Amino acid sequence: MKNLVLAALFVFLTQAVFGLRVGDPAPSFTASDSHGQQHNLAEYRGKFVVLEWTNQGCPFTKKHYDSGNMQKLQRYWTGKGVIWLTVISSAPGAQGYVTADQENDYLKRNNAAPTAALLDPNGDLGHLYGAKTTPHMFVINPQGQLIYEGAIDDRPTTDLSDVSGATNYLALALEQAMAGKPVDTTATRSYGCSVKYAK
Amino acid sequence: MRAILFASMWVLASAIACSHAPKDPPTRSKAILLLEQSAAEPGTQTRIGIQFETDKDWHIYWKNPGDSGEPPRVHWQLPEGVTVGALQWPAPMRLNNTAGTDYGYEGSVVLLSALDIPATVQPGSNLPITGDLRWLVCHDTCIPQRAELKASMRIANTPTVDNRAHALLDAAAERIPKPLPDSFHLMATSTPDDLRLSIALNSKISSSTITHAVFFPAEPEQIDNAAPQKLENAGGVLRLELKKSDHLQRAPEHLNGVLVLNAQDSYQVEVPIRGSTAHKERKP
Repeated sequence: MKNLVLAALFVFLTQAVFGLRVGDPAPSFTASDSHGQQHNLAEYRGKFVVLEWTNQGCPFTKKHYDSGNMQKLQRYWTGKGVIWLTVISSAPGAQGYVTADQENDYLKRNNAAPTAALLDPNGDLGHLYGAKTTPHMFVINPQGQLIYEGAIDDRPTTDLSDVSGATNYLALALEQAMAGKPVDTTATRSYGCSVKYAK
Repeated sequence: MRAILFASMWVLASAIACSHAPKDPPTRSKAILLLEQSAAEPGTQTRIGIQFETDKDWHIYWKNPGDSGEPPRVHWQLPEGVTVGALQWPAPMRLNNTAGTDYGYEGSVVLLSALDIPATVQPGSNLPITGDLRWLVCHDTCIPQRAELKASMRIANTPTVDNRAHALLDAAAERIPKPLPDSFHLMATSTPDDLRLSIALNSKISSSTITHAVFFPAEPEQIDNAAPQKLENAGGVLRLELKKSDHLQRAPEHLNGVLVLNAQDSYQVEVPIRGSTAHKERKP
């Protein structure tokens, strides 16, 4: 946690003043997952990394989990070697805050398949990346650059029936980048509930 | 061992707490369909509205919700020949949270539309007006709500006005942003970090009477919603500085939205943006 705070502070001083933008180096971080494992972004150099902000209670998040869409994306892309990190930045007492055990139970119950679920109750990682909503998606390329940031798809609603037929920006960015093509849509307005950071 | 015992008791306690949570969260707002006329003449235009009432501290969203949220959406089902205009939205308020700034309404708000009755409908008949309405209401958490709006409008040779609905719709129409008066001259320019809205007033109005100005962008990702909007009075010309969104990928050609002056008068804004600096320079 101390590492994350230091990394956050460092990047805040050098970068966050200008906002995080696609094409920038993705800010480095170290964070703990729901099994107590530490994840350092630098370890994943050479791989694509997805960051997915989540909140179990948020109706926009529920749309993607109750429909099975998020789990399907997690399975498909981790199957292609992508590191998928789900991040929970809800503060203790706020909606979506979970203990490690509660998160593990949730992942199991929902048949979710991220590489890991990072617990960020202080919101350090969330603020470092400027995560505004749940969901809010970030894609980092093997060179460590941010190549997509924003919405999961083009249907900013809580309606389950909007999942099919939506253009999935995350999948498009990964497909294009993996094929060595430039990513057409690199940033969109993320949609969802506001991230429930500490007040 | 004791720690493990405590930990498992805690997990058990929270599991019990979870199982007691209500399955259907209580609704935090309601929506009512307003018909200006209970009876309308063939071949005329009337107004309908959706009146929202939220619980204290809860809010719904403007057409551009800002950094989070979702605007209300309605799908009307109308008899053949009856047409409904686009929803008209009163000027919203800024809603700040720990992750950003949203645009919406707290308490009571009415969205309104024009309704055209065809000349071909027969007096004595009834027109069913129904709408499938979905909206999101939020405070610290968000609840999606849905309602079927339903009313019947009689067709008659003499109209009958519903006085209560008429008053509510008139009050709502007052809050719809107005076209900019001729006495205002707006100009928008682009600088590397900001979009600057300049407001020049003709000599009859002193710029010093305007002490407060807020711009609400109609399009997402033009301005940084959470950034403070700085108002300056530079030699009689008011300047409102709007920080550009980090998401701007190309220079916007127009600044579209709503300008609220002195927290009461709202105007529609659509001005071309001038300036050589297309957008924020990318860092090398």
